[in-house]
Amino acid sequence: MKKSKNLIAVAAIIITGIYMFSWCSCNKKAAATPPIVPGNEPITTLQMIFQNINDPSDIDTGTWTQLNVNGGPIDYSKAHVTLKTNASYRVYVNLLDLDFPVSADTPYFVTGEIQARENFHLVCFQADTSFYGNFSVGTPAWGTTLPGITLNIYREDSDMNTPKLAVGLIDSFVTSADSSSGILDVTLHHQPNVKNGTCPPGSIDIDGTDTVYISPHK
Amino acid sequence: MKKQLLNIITTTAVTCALFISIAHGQDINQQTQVAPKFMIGFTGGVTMPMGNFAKTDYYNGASGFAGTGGNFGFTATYFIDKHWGISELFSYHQFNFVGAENMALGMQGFPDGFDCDSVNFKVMGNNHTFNFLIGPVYTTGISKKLNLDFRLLVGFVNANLAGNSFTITDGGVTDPTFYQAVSWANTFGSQLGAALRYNISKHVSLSANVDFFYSKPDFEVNNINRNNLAGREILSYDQPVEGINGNLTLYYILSRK
Repeated sequence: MKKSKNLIAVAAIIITGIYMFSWCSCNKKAAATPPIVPGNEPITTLQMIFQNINDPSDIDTGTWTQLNVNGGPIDYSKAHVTLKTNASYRVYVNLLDLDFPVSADTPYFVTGEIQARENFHLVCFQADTSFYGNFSVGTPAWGTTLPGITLNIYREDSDMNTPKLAVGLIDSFVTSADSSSGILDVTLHHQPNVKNGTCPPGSIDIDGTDTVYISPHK
Repeated sequence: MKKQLLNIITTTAVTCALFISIAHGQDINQQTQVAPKFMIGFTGGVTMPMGNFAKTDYYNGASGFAGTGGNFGFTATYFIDKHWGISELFSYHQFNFVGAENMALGMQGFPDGFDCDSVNFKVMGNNHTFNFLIGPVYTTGISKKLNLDFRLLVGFVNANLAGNSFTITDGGVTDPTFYQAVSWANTFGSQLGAALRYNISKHVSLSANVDFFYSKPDFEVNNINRNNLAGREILSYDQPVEGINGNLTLYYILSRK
């Protein structure tokens, strides 16, 4: 009788133990957020406001718009600016979503959201010389100029990374003494955890253009 | 998860109740039991973390994402007299990782994430501790075969904090994976508990323990391939590793002559 009780007790212990350990066994969790259709911030419009640092009355605005962010007709009608030679311009890059305006006459500015996400965004500039010649763009370090470049661009704003990296929503455009014209290609790069100050990493939120004329007479 | 926990607690409670009822049924009007001199045992059961260590809030840097797990160990007790003894415990606690979805969604979102299309999150290693504790134990007989034990143990704890990895995809581009490395730290710890011990035979007894455990390791966390200041990133973790163990312990006993 005593022996059978002991056997029952030991069996209970073993069963309970096995049950506990099987439940408590190593449980490595993994999770993936549900993938959505690949895309980025809905930005329909790239607006660049140029203001001559030495002549505040010299202001020009270039606006590039593609209402269908998945591809569609592009409105180049306002995507052009004229800059003076040997001049410095402060340039404000604005990003808008015209598909979902705040009101009928107030567009939705995405710029603030990009500023809030500045630690993994970068605005890049490059020249597209396929239609015009004698136009070149460089983004040298502060205090330096690239020889032979007709438009030197300096990004003025920086993010909170360590070390700080440029963002490019506010820039200085410095024109050379030579007249030139060309297409300025402007891209906003989304670089989650891969931002390193260069343009290639990450994906592109918007790729717009402005035709730039650099002339001594405006 | 909660259902499983309820099952464990119910099973443990029923088992304990069974032994206690058997003990009382047998022991009424019987004589005083023989005091043990030395006992060695194997213990195992459920580990339920508490406090910040058990939180799963992505936005709270103190969250430990530790869930209910298990523990096992070896224990030995030497009795100085009828009531007092010295006990040691060498044990291993492991905690499941909970809240993986919170981590993935938090890292995907904004403003505290990377505002990207999808995130693949994986846990590396696990949260666990090795404990070597020693301290006084007090025992008193309830009946011939049933004892009530109390113990307070203090000692050395080696703790490990699970690591993780994130792989971000955005705009059709998958960026290189970044990691929070597995971390470890040594510290002091303690455990306070009570147990009902039933003597199955002269040399074998079974104990149902409930213990509160506490340690406060100071982890230095190494993050690998973290390039930008965004998303959840902890550089250290110094929250208490605390909780409750519900165990069964099987003892082999050497009694006093």
